[in-house]
Amino acid sequence: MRQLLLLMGVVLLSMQLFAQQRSVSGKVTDANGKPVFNATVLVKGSSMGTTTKEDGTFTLNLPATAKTLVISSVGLAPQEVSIGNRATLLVALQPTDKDLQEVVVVGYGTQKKADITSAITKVGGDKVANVPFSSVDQTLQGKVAGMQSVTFSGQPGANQSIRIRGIGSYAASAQPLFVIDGIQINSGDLSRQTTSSNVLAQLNPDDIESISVLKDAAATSIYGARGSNGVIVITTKRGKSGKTKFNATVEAGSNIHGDLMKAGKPLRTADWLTLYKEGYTNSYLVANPAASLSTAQAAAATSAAAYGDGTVDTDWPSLLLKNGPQEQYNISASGGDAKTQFFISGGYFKQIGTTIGEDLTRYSTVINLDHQVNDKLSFSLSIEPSYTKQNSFISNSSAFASPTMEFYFERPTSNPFNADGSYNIDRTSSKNFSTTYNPLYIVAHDIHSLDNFSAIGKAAGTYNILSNLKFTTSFGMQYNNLEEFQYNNPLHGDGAASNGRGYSYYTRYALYDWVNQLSYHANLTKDNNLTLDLGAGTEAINSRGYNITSQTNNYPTLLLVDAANASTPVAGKNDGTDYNFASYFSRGSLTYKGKYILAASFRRDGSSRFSESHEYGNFPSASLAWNVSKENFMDNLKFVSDVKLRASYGSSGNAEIGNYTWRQTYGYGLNYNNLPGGGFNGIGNSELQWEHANQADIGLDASFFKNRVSLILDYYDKKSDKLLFNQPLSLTTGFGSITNNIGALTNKGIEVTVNATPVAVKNFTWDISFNFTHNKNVVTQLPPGQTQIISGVEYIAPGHDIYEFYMRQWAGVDPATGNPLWYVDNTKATTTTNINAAATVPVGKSASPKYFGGFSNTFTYRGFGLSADFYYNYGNYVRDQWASYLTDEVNSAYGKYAYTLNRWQKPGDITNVPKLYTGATNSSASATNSASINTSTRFLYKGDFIRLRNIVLSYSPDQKFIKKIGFSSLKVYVRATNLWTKVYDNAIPFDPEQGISSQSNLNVLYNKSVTAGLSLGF
Amino acid sequence: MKSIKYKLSLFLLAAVAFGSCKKAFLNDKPYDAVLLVDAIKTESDLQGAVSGMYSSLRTTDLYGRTLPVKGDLMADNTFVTTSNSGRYIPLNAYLFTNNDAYALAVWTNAYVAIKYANSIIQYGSTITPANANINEYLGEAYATRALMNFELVRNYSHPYTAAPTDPGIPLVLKFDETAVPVRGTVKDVYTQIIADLEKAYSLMTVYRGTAYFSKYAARALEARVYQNMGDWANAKTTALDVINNSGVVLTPSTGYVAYWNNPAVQAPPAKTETLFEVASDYTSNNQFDQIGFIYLTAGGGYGDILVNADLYNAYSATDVRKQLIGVGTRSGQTGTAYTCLKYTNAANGTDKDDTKVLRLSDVMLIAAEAYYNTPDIANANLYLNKVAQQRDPSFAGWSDAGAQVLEDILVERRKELAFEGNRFWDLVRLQRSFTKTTNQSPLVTVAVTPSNNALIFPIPLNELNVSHLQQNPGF
Repeated sequence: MRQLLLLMGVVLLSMQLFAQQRSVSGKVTDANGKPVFNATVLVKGSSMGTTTKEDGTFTLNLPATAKTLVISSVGLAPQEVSIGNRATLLVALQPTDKDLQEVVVVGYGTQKKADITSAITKVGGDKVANVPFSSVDQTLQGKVAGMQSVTFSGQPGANQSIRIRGIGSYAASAQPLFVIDGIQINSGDLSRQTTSSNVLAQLNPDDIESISVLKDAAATSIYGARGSNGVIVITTKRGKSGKTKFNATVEAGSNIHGDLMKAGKPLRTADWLTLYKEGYTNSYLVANPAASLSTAQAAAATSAAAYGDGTVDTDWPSLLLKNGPQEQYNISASGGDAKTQFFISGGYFKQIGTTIGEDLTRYSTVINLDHQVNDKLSFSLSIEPSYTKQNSFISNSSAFASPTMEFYFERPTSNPFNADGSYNIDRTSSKNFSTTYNPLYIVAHDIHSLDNFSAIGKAAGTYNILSNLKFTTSFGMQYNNLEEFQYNNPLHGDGAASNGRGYSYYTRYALYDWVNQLSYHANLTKDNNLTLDLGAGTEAINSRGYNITSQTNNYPTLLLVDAANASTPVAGKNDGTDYNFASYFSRGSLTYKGKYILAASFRRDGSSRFSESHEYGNFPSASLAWNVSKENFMDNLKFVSDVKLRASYGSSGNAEIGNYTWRQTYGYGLNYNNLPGGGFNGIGNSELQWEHANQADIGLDASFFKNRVSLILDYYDKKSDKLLFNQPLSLTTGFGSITNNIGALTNKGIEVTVNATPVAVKNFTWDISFNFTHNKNVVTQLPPGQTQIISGVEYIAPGHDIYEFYMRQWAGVDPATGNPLWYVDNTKATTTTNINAAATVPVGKSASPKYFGGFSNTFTYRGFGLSADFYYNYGNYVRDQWASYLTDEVNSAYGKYAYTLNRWQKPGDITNVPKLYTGATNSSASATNSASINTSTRFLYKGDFIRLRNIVLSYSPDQKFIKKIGFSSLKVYVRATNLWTKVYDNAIPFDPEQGISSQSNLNVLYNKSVTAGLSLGF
Repeated sequence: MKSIKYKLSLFLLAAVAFGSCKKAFLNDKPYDAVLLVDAIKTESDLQGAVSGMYSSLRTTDLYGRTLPVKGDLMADNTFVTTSNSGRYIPLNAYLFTNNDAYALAVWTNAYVAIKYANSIIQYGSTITPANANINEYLGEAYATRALMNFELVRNYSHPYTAAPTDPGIPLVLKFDETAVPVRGTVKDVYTQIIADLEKAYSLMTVYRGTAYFSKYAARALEARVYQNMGDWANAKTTALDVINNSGVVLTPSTGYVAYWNNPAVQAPPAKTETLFEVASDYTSNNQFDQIGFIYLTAGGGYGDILVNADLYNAYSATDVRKQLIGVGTRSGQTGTAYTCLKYTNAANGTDKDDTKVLRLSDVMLIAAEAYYNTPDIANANLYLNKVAQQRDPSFAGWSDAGAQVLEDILVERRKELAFEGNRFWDLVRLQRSFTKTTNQSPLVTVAVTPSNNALIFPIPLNELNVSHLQQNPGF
């Protein structure tokens, strides 16, 4: 404390050192002579300064020592002007060489783009602002070469799967590390009872200044043990000195459910009954070979009558899907003087889903402050609290109470309403909900909510020990407080068996990340041709998870849903989960004439997730870059604006396994007869280590024709070894698997990004942006003695893609008999009707796309702008996990896909749907047919698609007009997301975007949205 | 001068920061588990471990549901109705693939229970000084291991009565993740089961109620094991030991329905009907996967499995057991639907159905069958009628002679032990052919002969992928 007081005293003293002696005035213009408003004018080497007025003029009192002014403005290159004896200065700022002067946020700092030696993609905040997606990771889809961002659920606030340069892990998480304002945050889904939630949904994309996606080892090795899946560094907006600027956005619109595929629309009553009776008739004739067709049909009609007389014809999609309003309001203020700058924002976001019972509301604020005490000492503070409320019913295949599951599973013959308009909740008759629940009643009476309060905060101080030696300490915290509540009503649904059921889950994560670093810059030669940058630091991360769980049953009334009112406590417990990292990191780079840059980094990481003998790991990297265009021999190639070659090699790690996986444990909760019980439940492995990834990257950055065309090319080869695998064990051990460092895999790929401005004439420009990624994953090594690891439809074996499907090869339907056929083996030479004679094989089709990327076109004409962003995905296959219920008549009691109508009916029919038989019966013909629904390539579809992810039409009136009505900027726009999708496999019953593992799980349909907005600056 | 203080204070700060990483910083311990080697050190620890072991028997795919369901569904007692949730279809249809989910789940969970039993035997044996309670707990672990090995060997290997030298199941007597499992013979497995049960019998002296193995529950299991081996002399000795010495009595017929409807286990000194049952209580149960929900729709059940009409018709009107089959209708089912009423507490708000594993009436019928085979027809009929006339006081009693006595015993076993998972094993161990109804509307049946490969589960594909055990025929 005393030192702090001392510091403050020093600060006050030093501020008085600058006596005011003379003044200078001037005018700042751009290259065309137009005045520049709000340009910053600073006395070099001090924090004295001012900003220009609207006419570009400024007046500044100068200390005696002042020799040079530094003048800067957004979008223009900063310029240093020697004052000399002049009292008036005219300064014309040149446009930035936008690519070269751009500053990019990298690990533990920033770098000029020209000096970067690694593969980093920067996405500006303007690209993610005001988009009606609930979290920024969804917006990033298609924007970054090498990064796959996949949605698996249209539920507002759902988690997003992200893979950078392929999947580098199996048992450990393959999600990248997220760093927000320098804090390595807990990301992903922290909820316990909610189908899907996303920590990033807490962050208002409007508050983001920039996003850096770190891809190669030169960029990620500095994050050591957590870098091998790539790192996404998000930086929030900070204040800029000058007059306070306000930005306000108002946006509203509607969400519309995504397209239902023709093949997968649920059948309506007439068709459903036709198929039911046909299956029944066929089965009857097998069981009673002597019976006549009419007898069989009569029996079928009797059986079908149990489902009603056919007059009820419920259109379930129309009842379970709806349009959902969408709105957001954001306002921010930014400004400050030369010493203190602030950015303050507030945002409100609300999205109502397109499946009933789904919505997300977010309130977010940011306060970012920067204060420069003097030229030695500065402080900064960031506070980013936010609150979200998410309602989301079980929105996948996990329960009959799930509206998205009932969408497909309900029979069209069931009427959700009684004659008097009340909900029909009868479960005794097949005419009603004998096998499922009425989802409309469930959504109207049950509650599934998540209240998430979170805050990210950071205090940092920087002290310039010497002019070229800087010490920074930064203490960041992330706090997540999740309150989940689930209530199942006592009359109908999952709560009926317990006369009402309530769950109350409290989950808290508190994380701190303390970074101390020294950075040093030196000119090694007098002519500044050789410069050295060094940095070293320590980092300590501590995350503590704490949760309380309560469950109560037996509710006395429908009116009260809180646990206090229930009579029977079932569960009440608390638990926790912690991890720590202790790290040392360093980096250095040597630059010669801006042409040759050699860089290296080293990190040593310790983690609580490994035993004492293996807790530390080392992660080095080296990289170099050659700015070819700065060579003399390039001077003649006028069309080349800039060419840089990059190469890097290094290692990073992955420690994203359970916090206590390595320990051999005996756990509790195995209670019996109202007594506590425990057992040997954690097999542990004290030999566990980091998963290592060694990655080589060669890259080319080039731009031509005065930056009208730019190109970024990268080739990478990432070898992951000591892979954390759940190695299957003989089940006779009592464990299914042991986590072990075994196996290796590689990801090799190419990334291409092209940006071009084909047309730029007066009043009209056309910009194109295109990116392309090709990634090939190959498993290269398995544990000794194992040639393959099989888990359900997953197949891991050397030479195969880690996401290759493993199942029987479907050979179609025999046109003569209608029987299903499978290939006996992978040679596809022989077919069989006996499923047990068909081998289960790796089918050579993967859930991972071969190619994906995005392309966008932007047209601007006068004040009008039109931009369209497409996302494409090619070469993967998608599995329908639920077809066994939703096609054929084996499980005849459920809703059916429309394509079931194409069933085989008579000899000669060419179709993929076999002759229908009801139930699993044992006579030879129908036994074969009941196996038709077993997992095979029959239910594998091509996942190729192109989606119009985002289209915006905007209009900004003439600047004079805007000024006249008192604003500094004004834009109106209409935006549509996911408006159009082209799917290439007509047979697929659902949208092909089904998460990273490409397996349908009856999740919420993707949303389309149409919104209109107004953006104002003043 | 000032700037020096500046630097000093900042360097001090830096020093604190750089020096803050201590060893303990990286040592996080779990909140809900202890290290295995520290877990079982006292009698109280051992009791907790035994409770954990029993809770593993309650899983859905052991006594929670699948084992008792399988023993009737794969026989001629029950079938899956047309309107169903998709559960137990392969068992109903006698159609297994080598990756059958039930074959996998029973295998997996039985070996988990064996793992718990083994860790109790390994660590509990080292607690000194031993006392009656510690010995009781150890005995329960031996009995549980025997029970699991018995279930495994009859579910995955050919019956001892038909092929004692066919491959058995891997015997795991100690946890060792590096051990390579092998299939010895069926006989090897039975030898180990008998050894474990003898050990249990010798260790146990304390009766803790029906939710736990007791000395005579272990003996009753031994009688059943000998019955499955066709070792009638030992079956008789062990069965009579239970009947004469356990103190367990049959309930009068007037109390029999109430006995089934009561979801509570019996605490000492109560000893009625049950020798051993796996307990479910209000907080620890299988929720929607409780056995009652597979039979009944009330309270949100699936109601997938119905009772064959001929089983219902086998009971006389005065037989109290007839009241344990409900008569009604079921969606998707033409005509009358018969339902099992032995598990009616799935939606009960205070306690849930327990699964009876060993009952005195079963032991009496084993005694009858043992007498029949030794041969002693008079005593066979005596023990047979002890059960039959207890359930139906107006029944005059069985009095057949010759081979018919065995048929009478089987009928009585079917009626007495219906829905407890026994019928199928009677048919299998006696190598009977029978007709299994797989669907009643339309009527579809399977003619099951002793050569049907589906009479035993395939060794799960997941196991074969790792340990290369010999697969069963037909898979």
